[in-house]
Amino acid sequence: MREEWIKPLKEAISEVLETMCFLCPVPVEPHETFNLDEEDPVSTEIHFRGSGGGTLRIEFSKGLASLIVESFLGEDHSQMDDEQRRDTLREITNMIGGNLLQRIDPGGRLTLSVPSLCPPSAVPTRGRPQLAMDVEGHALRVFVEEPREEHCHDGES
Amino acid sequence: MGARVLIVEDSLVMRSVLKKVLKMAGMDVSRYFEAANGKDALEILNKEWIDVIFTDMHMPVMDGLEFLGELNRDDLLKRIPVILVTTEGRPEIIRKAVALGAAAHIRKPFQPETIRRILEKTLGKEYERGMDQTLEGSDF
Repeated sequence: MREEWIKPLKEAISEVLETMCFLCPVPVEPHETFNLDEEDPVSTEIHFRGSGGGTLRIEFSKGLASLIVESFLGEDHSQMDDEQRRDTLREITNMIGGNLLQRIDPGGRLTLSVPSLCPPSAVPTRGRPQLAMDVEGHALRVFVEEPREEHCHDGES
Repeated sequence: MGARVLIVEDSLVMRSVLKKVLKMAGMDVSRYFEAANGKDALEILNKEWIDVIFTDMHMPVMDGLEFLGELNRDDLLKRIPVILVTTEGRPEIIRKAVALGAAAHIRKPFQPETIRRILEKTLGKEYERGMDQTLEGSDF
């Protein structure tokens, strides 16, 4: 677990969602008990490669995923196809990862992987999230993990 | 005449968002081209006159640095201003991009105002003329 990432992570998520989606996330305490209230959230993952790196996994409730996609593209969710939805969540994860990287590694020691959307079967047994945020009544949970094998692939390079 | 813009970005939704932001910034997006990587962008540049390029750095097939390198090898293409729009922030990578001719660097996430300000600075009077014409018929 990378405890030192949590504060900059809150700032990175807030900056990305406020700037690109006009959404205001609010940290929820105690975050360990904050549930998504649904069985299969949408998960994305991005890896920070190099010494002191790790993996960031973000779980969006389905409602939040839809809200982010609509806000980012400025279009009605029903008019979008699945690829647009996946691409939007990958891009938001990419921005959060890049923004976090700037805060935790200004010297440029680490490199970012390409973000991926995780099929439910690829998501490891859920532990306790290190951060939970309420976004306009929808839930977002973040897991920060030690470097591990990259197992989420969704067909994108 | 508004500027002819080329967006080089592997994310389809990001290209769409950038196009909207350019419109909000007053650009005439009827003269707009897009490519998913540097290689596809070079093909467009061989056929079309482009006034300004916005490019991501991390792309499959040909990334932003390779693309800038190819532009830099061509006496005509290297005159086109290139604006980086990327999550990339490592100083040595940005320095390399600038050495290869990048005119400006915009970090994602970005405000539309940032794009407008950089365009104004990069294109100067040509951008202002394009903006005047665009705003006359704009729905903003």
